[in-house]
This record gives sequence, C-alpha cells and structure tokens, in this order.
Amino acid sequence: MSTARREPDRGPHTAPKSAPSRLLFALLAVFFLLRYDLWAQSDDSFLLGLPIAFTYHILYCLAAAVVLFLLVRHAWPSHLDAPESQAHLDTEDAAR
Amino acid sequence: MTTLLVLAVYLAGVLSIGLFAHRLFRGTGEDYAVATRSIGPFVLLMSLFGTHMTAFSLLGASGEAHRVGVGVFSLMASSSAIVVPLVFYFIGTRLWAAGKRHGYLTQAQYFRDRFQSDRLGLALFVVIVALVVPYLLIGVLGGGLTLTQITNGLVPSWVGGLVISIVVVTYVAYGGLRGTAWVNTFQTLVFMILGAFTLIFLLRQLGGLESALARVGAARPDLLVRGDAVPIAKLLSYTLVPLSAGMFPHLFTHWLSAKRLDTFKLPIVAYPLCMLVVWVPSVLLGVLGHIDFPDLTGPASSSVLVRMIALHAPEVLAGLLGAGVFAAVMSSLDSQVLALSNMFSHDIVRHYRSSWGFAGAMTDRQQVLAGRLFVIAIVVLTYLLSLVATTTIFGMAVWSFTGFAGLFPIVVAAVWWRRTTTAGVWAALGTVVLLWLVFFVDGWNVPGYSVAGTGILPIVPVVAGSALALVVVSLLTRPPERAHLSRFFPETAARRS
Repeated sequence: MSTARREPDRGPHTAPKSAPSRLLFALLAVFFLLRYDLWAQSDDSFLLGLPIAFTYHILYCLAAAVVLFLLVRHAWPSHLDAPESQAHLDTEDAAR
Repeated sequence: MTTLLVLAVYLAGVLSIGLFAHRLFRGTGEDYAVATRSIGPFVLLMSLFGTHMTAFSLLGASGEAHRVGVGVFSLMASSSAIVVPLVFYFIGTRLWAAGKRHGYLTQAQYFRDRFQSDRLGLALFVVIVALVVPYLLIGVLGGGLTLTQITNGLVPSWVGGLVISIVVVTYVAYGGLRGTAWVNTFQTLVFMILGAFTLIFLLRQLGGLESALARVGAARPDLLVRGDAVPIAKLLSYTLVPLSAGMFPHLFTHWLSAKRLDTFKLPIVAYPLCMLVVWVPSVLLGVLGHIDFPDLTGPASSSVLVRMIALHAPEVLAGLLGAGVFAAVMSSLDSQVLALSNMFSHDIVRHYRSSWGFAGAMTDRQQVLAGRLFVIAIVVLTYLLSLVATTTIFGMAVWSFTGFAGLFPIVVAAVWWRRTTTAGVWAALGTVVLLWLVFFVDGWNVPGYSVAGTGILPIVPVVAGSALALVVVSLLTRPPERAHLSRFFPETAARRS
C-alpha cells in the first residue's frame, strides 16, 4: 500500500496552494524587488571585472534561472495537463 | 563579395530547413497553424526566445548602450529575464490548456468564446493587427538597412528587404508553424552563437576586457555607472514593457504549439540564460564602441556594432554578423506573419463566411490555402509599405509595446478572474485605445517622451488605466453565468456542484 499522499484535484485554473508553493511565490515577490538596485545608482566600483551595475544584473539573471527552476520544480500547475482537460479537441468550439 | 556569399549560404540553409519541415506536414488547418500541438521543449524555447528577440537586441541594444552606458542592461534585459518567463508560467500555460481543451488557434477565438462576444473578438483582432503592423515594418526595414551598412552601400536597402520578404514568405507559406519553429530554432542558435563569438573576437582586438574598459572609463566614466541616464522612474516604467509578451499574437501561436504542459518548463527556466547570451555582448560592445567611435550620436549609434566589425574584423565575420541580424529579424517576422495569417484565416474568413453566404464549414485544404494566401498578402503589403516608410518607424516599437502591455490586464483577468465581465473588458480596451492615442499624439515625435516630463513612460498610466477600468466595470456589471464559466474554470464548478 502506497503511503504517498494524493494531491487534491484543483482543476485547470487553480494555482498550487501547498506550503512550499506559497513560500516560493513569496520568494518570487522578494526576488522581483531585488531588481531595483537603488544603491548602485552612482556606484562606480567594479565586481568580477565589470562595472558593478552591470555585474549585479548579470548575477540577477543567473539567480532568476534558479528561482524559476524552483518554481517549475515545486509549484508546477500539473493539474492543467489532467486527462479531463485534454480529452478532446472541440473543433466546434473553435469555429464558434 | 565574401560578405554576400556568407549571407547567401545562410539564407539557403534557412530555406532548406523550412522546406524540409514541409515533409512532416499533415495537410490540416491545425497542423498549418499550430503544428498539431506537437512542438517539444527545445524547439519551443528557441521559437519563443527567437520570436521575442528582434534586431533591436543586437543593434538597438548596442546603440542604446553606446549612448547611455551599462544601465541599459538593467533597464531592458534583467526585467525581461524574470517577467517574460513568469508570463509563460502564469499566462502561457493556462492559454495552452484552454487552447487544447477547446481547439483554439488564435487569440480572438479565445477571447470571443471566453467573453461570449463576437464584437469584442473583432475589436481585439483590429487592435492587435494595428499594433503588429509597425513591428513587421521594422523587421523588413531593419534587415534592409543592415545589409546596406555591412556592404558599405553596395546593396541598396530595398534589396535587403526584398530578400528577407521572399525567404520568409517561402518557408512560412510552405512549412506553416512547424517550418517556422524549426527555422526559428536554427536562427536563434545562429544569433546567440554569433553574438558570443563577436564579443570574444572584438575583445581580443581591443586588447582585452580590462584594458578596453579602462580606456572607456578614462574618457566616459558615466557609461560605466547607471547614473542619471537611467533614473528610478524609468527603471520602474520599463518593468512593465515585458508584460506585452502576454498579448503578442506570435507568442500566443507558439504557446499553443506545445506538445505537453511540461514542454513549458525548459523555456521558463532557460529564458534568463538566453537573455544573458544575447544581451551581455550587445551592451558590452556598445559601450566599448566608444574607443573607436566616440562621436556617434542619435540614431547613428545603432550602427556602432556594424562599424566595429567593419573596422576590426574580416569580411567573413561581417557576413556572419549580417546573418545574425537577418536571423534576429526573420525569426520574429516569420512568427508575426504566421500569427496574422492565422487570425485573418480563422477570425475573419472562417468565422464570418456563413454571413457572407458560404454554406458549410471550411475544409482543411481551404484553411491551409487561406493561410498561405494571407501569408503572401501580408508580406507583399509589408514590403510595399517598407518602400515608402521612413526610418522614424523605428520609434514606433516602444508605442507598440505600450499598446500590447495595456492589453495585458485583459488576458490576466480572462485566465485568473471569474468575476471579469464582457463590459469590463470593453472598458479596459476602450481605456487602452483612448490613453494610447492621447499619449501618442502628444509624444510620438518627442525623443525620450515621458508623461508630463515626470520620467514616467506612457506605459504606466496605460496599464494602470486598463486594469482599473476592467476591475471597476466588471464589479459594477452583472457577473457571467456559472454554466459558461464552468467551461473555463471547470475545477471550481466541480467543487461547487
């Protein structure tokens, strides 16, 4: 007998609401705000051989990939791909 | 001559891929429009990224960096790196699911059905087409001008535009979305690899990164800080620009082509990395261009990359750069043309044919034929317009982005908010059109235009006005019927029953 917990069926348009998902969405909001590096407005120092205003945003893009990886790994809306949502192609709908 | 030879080989390669894709064509309207929803993760990533990046990412970005410095990267690249993948995650996946469930092929089909309004679908069709047309023109004009520059005026710009138009119309009309996606993949790889290669080559010519930056810093230290060139109001305003991706018809078409939901995972995660590969060379080389070309100003600064290559690199590299620019231009142009062709075929001809007196549904053969004829008509019309358009059209790009971003609240509400009403969407659409026209009339010919000189771009009030109108009018009008909503939010309906 499997001990794995069954995910509740939330349907195609409901975002995952588990605790890790909520944490990830909160992390996403904070991460989004980090883009505004006001402290670097007039900073002329260098980091990793490049102007800091440039390096910071390169690192930000790399971090974005990590955050997005966590998002698709732990908060993926797999219910959108549920069998009932792809049962048929309703061509009559499309012609409407 | 070598430059032209390299370009000819490149274009022959592009055509071969497009024509080869036709061998897998299934002969149906759905296969022509969305490749029977069979595209895998890597091709989807390359298609979405290549379609979203235009020649601006290579030439315009380096020109902007030449003018204002490294701050351009924070302004345009890092915002897209996070906002665009989130648009894929929150919007693209939902539209893909709706498209697969109901068989949609175009945006207007979805909105017409979602909000039960033929007129709303038609109005959105008109607005979207009007906003895409300048984009098409920019592609054809930009390709032509680049060819003129890299051949030192040997090839007139109308020839470059004509060549691009013929190649695009051939593989799009012949290969449909599958051909377009495959060619996009090849072209996106080309301009990503060439961008990185050009950076490495030119850095060696300039004596290395440290030395080159020191020389720029000695003459123009302001280019190495964000400084006053990118004030906070501008930085905030530009965050909204990538929202336009949510309403681009060409991205919508590619979303629908995904094979499975999981197909979206790679594009979402890898998008910021692709942004780095293209934008870091563009911005860095634009800044370093001050070493050799310190006096370039205004629109001429967009040619800094081409000039650097002409000065430092052999003809072969100039040809490869030309191929890279052509790749960036065509990978956007083809998807835009295909999306418009789908819209004309399905939203106008297929949808209204009965009211024109034609009986019965369109056959697959008729759908494909209509799609191909519209591809040819759109490209011919765009090319003819490009012959009379002036280069001031390049300034239209930001206005086009503003309009698409203004429509973003509509798609968010459509997929996430059950309470959205048809009247609310009409209010949002009307607000976008009105505000866009007001700001456009006031500032279309003012470089660096902002709302009342505050530094805030028109995109901010347009998006805010659209969202506000949508929410207020939706709440003031009668909610949609549950039975109808259950088609779009089936899980909620199941819970309530």
